[in-house]
Amino acid sequence: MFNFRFLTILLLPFFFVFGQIKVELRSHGVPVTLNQWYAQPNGDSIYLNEFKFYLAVPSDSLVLVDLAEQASLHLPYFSLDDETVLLRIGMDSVMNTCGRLDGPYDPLLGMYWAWNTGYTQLKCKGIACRAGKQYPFEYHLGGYRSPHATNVQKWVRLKEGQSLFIHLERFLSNLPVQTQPKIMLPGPMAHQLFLKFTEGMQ
Amino acid sequence: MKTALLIVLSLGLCALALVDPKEEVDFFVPQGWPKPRYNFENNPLSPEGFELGRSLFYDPILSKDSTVSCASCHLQYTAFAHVDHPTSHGVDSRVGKRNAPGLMNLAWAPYFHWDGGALSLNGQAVNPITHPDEMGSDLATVLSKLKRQKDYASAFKRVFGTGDIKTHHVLKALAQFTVSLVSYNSKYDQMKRKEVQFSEQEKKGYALFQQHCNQCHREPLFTNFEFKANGIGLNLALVDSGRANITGKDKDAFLFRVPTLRNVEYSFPYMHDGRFNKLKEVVGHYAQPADWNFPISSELQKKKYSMNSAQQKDLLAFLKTLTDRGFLFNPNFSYFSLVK
Repeated sequence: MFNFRFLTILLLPFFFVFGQIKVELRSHGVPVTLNQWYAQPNGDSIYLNEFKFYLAVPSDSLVLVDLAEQASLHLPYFSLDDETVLLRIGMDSVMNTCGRLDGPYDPLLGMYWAWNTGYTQLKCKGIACRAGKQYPFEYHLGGYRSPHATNVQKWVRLKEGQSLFIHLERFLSNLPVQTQPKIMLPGPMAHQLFLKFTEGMQ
Repeated sequence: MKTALLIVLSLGLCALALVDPKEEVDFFVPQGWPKPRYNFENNPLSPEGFELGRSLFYDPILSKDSTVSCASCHLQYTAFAHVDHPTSHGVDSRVGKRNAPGLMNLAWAPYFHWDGGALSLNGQAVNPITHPDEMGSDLATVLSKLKRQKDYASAFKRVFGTGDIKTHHVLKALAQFTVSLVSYNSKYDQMKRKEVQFSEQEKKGYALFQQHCNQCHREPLFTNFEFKANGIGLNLALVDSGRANITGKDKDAFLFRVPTLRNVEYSFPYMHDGRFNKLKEVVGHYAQPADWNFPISSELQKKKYSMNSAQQKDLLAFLKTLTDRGFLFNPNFSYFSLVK
C-alpha cells in the first residue's frame, strides 16, 4: 500500500504535465516565441514582444495563454473521449460582464479593459520590418457586443498527447501595420483581425 | 469522560469561530425601491469587509505616491462628489477631464462612470487607481504596498481568509464600503412614507419635476441610468465624446450618464465637466430652451418648456428636499483607518 501511494505521489506531477494539451503557436511551420524575428514569405519580418489571448476549454475553464508565461501554454486537463473538443477563443458576453476579478479575470494580468467595457481578448505587440523600414504595432482586440463580438467557438480535432497548434500566418500577414498600427477599441477592425487569428486554430 | 468530551467540543466550537468569525449582513433595500443589481452572493457584506473597504477608501496608499485617496475626490459631506473643482485633480496635481460624480445608491447602478465604461462596481475602482490623472498607480504596486502593511494583511485575512492579498480582494473590499452608501432618508423619502408633508412651494416644485424632469431623473433613484445630451453644448477645452468613447458609435457622441439628483444640493459642481457651480444655474439652464446648444436628446427636445422665475424657485425648493443629512453626516461613512 505504501509503495502504491508513494508511486502515485511521485507520478502525479507527470500525469498533470503529460495529460495536458499544450498550445503551440506556429508561423509557416516554425514555432513562434517572443523577442525573435520571423521572416515571412513576402519578404517582411515580424518581431513579437507580447502575445496573449483568452481560451475557454471544456468545463468552462478560462485560461489566459501568454507567450511570456511558459506554464500558461499547458491547458488545464479535459477529457478527449471522442477526439474532438469545442474550444472558445475569447470570452463571451456573460464572461465579460460577470464581474469576476479573480484568476484569469484578474486585472493584474493586463487584459481588463480599464478604459473601456469588458476585457481585451487578444493582445499582440511588436515590430514589422517591411522593405527595410520598421513599423511598430500594438493590437488590443476586444469587444463583446454584436456584431463585433471577439469570441469564436470552434470544434478542434485533438488526441491525448497532441498539441493544439495555432497557425499565425494569416493573422501576421494581415496586420495593418502601415495603415492602422494601433487598434485599441472594439469595432469592425478589431473584430476582423481577431477572426484572422481564430482561423489559424485547426 | 463526559467532561473531556465537553472540553473537546467546546474547543472545536472555539476553533470554528476563529476560522470564520465573519458575520454576514443583509443589504437594506428601502420600501418601494427596485431590486438591487449588485451581486451580493459574489461579495457577501460583513462588518469586517465594510471596515476594510472604508479604510481603503480613505487611504492614499492606493495612489502611486500615497498622496491621493478615493476620498480626495469623493468627499462625504458633499455627497461623495468633489466640491469646488469643475474636474478633479489627482497625483502630481494633474487635472482630469471629468467632474467626480457623487457616490450613493450604487447597488442599483447597471454601470459606472459618466460614460458607463465600467460594468461592475467591483471592477470600476481599477480605473481611478490606474488612471494617470487620478491615482496614477498600478495594481501590482498597490498589492505590494498593502502586503507590507501588517494591519492590512491581517484585515484581509479576517475578511477573505488569506493574507495573500489579490486584486479581487482589494476591489471587493472597496465595493463593500461603496455599495453600502445608501441614501434613502431625505425629506422627499419621509414625505413618500407619509412621515412629513411638503410645503406648498415644495409641492409645486414636485409637480414641475414630475412634469418635466422625471422622464430621465426617474424616481426613486432619480436617474434612469441612460445616456443623454442635455443641451449644454460641447466643451471644446476637454475634447470628450462621452459614451462614444466606449461604444465607438457616432450616435453616442457627447452623451453622458444621467446622474442621480439625490443630495444634488450638496454635489456641486454640476454636469460631466463641472461647468455649473450653483444649482440655480442648472435649473436656469433647463428653464431656457432657447439657449440650449447641440446636441440635445429627444426627450428634452420634445419638452422645450420655459420656466419663469417663480417656477424655477419652486423646482429648486423641491430639489432641496432630496438632501439626506443623515447620509451626508453619517459617522459610519466618515474617515476611518485600520492602520494603527
